[in-house]
Amino acid sequence: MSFRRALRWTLPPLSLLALSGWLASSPLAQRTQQTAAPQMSGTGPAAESSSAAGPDRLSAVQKFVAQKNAESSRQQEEFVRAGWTIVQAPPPDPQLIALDPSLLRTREAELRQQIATTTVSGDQAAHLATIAREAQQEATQVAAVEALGRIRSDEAQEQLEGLLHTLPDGTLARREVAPLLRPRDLSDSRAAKLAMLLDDSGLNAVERKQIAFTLSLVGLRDQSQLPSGVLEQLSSSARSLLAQTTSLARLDRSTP
Amino acid sequence: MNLKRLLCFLSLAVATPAAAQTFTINPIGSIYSWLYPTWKCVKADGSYCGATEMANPYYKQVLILSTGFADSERPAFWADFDKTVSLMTYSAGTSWTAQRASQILYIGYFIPGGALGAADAVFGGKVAQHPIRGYALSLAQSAVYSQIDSIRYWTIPQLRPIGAAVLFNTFQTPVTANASPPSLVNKPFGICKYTRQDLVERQAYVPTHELAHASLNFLDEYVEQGFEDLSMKQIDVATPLVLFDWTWGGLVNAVGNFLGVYDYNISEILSNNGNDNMATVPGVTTVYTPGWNGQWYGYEGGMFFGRGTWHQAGSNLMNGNNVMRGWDDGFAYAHSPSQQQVVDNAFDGGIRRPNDRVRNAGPMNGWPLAFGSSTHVMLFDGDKNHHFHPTQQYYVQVGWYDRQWSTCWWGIFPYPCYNDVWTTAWNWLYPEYRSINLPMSSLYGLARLAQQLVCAAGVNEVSSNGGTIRLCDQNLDTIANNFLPTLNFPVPYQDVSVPASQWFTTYWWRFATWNGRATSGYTGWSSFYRSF
Repeated sequence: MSFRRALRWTLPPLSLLALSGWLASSPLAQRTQQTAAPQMSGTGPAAESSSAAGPDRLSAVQKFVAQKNAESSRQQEEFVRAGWTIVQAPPPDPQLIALDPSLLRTREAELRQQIATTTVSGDQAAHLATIAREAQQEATQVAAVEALGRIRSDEAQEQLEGLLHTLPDGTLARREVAPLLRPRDLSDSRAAKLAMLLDDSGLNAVERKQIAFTLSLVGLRDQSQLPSGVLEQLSSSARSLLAQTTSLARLDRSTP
Repeated sequence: MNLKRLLCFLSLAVATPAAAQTFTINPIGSIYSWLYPTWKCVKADGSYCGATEMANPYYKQVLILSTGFADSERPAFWADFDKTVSLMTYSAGTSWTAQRASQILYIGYFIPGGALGAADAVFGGKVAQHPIRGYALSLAQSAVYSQIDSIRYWTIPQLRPIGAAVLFNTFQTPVTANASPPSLVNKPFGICKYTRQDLVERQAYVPTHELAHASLNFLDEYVEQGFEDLSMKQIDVATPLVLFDWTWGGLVNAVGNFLGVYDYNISEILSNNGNDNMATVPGVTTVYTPGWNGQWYGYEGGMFFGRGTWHQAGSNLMNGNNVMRGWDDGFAYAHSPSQQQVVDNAFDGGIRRPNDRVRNAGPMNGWPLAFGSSTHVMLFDGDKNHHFHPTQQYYVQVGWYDRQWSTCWWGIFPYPCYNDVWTTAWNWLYPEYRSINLPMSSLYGLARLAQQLVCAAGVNEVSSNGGTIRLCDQNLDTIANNFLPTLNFPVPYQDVSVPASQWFTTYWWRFATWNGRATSGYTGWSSFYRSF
């Protein structure tokens, strides 16, 4: 097989491969992996494949490299211009920022610090719930529940609701859960679900009172009530609890 | 010898050192102003102190003013002043006023005026009907601060109180005493109010406890009846009503009011905001700082609610016996270890811990909507408004993967290739005052609860239409909704502008604090995504 023929059969697939590799590793791809572990470093083939070696080709590549590096350095320059200093610091640990529950076995304290000091995104809610259930240390369990409470998303609320039924009653972490269950408003389907919890025997009396108080606060805030269909499904004791907590939230009483 | 000379002689006979008092030379003044001083400075043992001691920073001054006393009642004021000093010194167990007795100077200053509730009562003092529970003490706090400035200017240039008290001339009971912690009202010291009856009924407790609010910036660790099972975090359902005010600048203001981008909470603003003895999480130390031990607040309750706030184990002056999570979770004339750190810091100087109650407060991790030439990140710092060691500087790191290109070779063929290189930029900044507004008109049915909470925290006055109103004796039911005031609080949050301008890049950031002695550990890395 002649050299020319070999090139004809190998170069086009290689070019295609290079192009797709470049696209896959370009920053655009990062959009879908915002919380995924960043690449420590990597090499990728160029967007332009070479079809021939020679001084012209080399200078074209070098020009391209210089141009891209100039673009990259612009960001650093902007930081420096704004008074920042470029320093050496270790990059984020991919496992830690992903809140990988497997870290509970060896690096629980680090994981707890990551949870307690950052704002976690909604898609990490499941990890947090796992950590709340499986952490050895009470402080880590509580930090995970607290972090779920700070996420204002449906996923996080669902995980909290799950924890209410799975964490052992009486633990510090379980005690934190009920006050963090919040519907957007009383017409929200979550409000109806919370209302149903007022008759759930799996919850203790304090948790039921806390949920009723939250529903009362939201109702007073918005000057609204639970839909009549939801109220009708509640037991009389649940309705009475709601009335009691609403009165308490309005401070319709004289406290000593 | 005429009467005036006789009185003059008598007053000199009972006189205290000249440096310690000022006589009002008033030819038509009453006999009492001849016999009793307008002000005096005494140490805890009752001995007099003068300008030298007052100018010495080793000593800490507690100022006690009067309201509701006529000039003829000077003897009563001074008798109760002496009683206050004696009770706080000898009947307060190991509370701060007893253990630090040798370092405290009590400065009394008598101001005659009308009876409580009268138009000419000093500071507008009155026993007001509390909208919810009985009666409470009320006065114009701004008038007290102005009076203290005036005293410092005209009479006692060395006046630098760590806390001030106003003694109300009444024996009415029950009346709720109260005090403002300085960090919540953004003042160098707070003001507490108590009555003559408090000294009779509750002895050392009221002045020692209330002055701990005003001087040491402590919050109550006890729980309001009826709220034992309810959590402070539940009031965060009102957080969407919070508005970022002008202190934030335009962009943050606009973005911040878009709920869900930043992580700010009313519960934190009220009870994790520089008041060392209270937090909204048990693990108050959120970052590890080499060489320092963290703190754990194991007992739940405080600041009105039985749940959602946390304080350290150890029965103490700010606690009560209503809700006890353990044998050492009740009232005692003593301090918990973290309170003791604050007392030591206040009296001896020397910061006892890093400002390590920190958290990245947004944008939420991976936030995809960073636009423009810079992005604002927000820091939560529970010690930003600490009364004794507020954060002095923030250290912020921002990192990203920088694509560094080079020429690679495939056989004889050159091609451009790259490495993603982790790059970090670092900066520091001073904390800046930031506050939020909470319009009570938007609270509807929650307005009374908000009023009660704010008053329990010690915020008694709010600005309204260019003036101030005394919030805690207003019956909100009688005020039209449109005229309800707007609450304004300093907050434990700080924004930082990050010049993250590269399109389609994920940026990572974290921060640490410096409080003048210790640099805290860094928070974990949080991210935001710059699209275009």
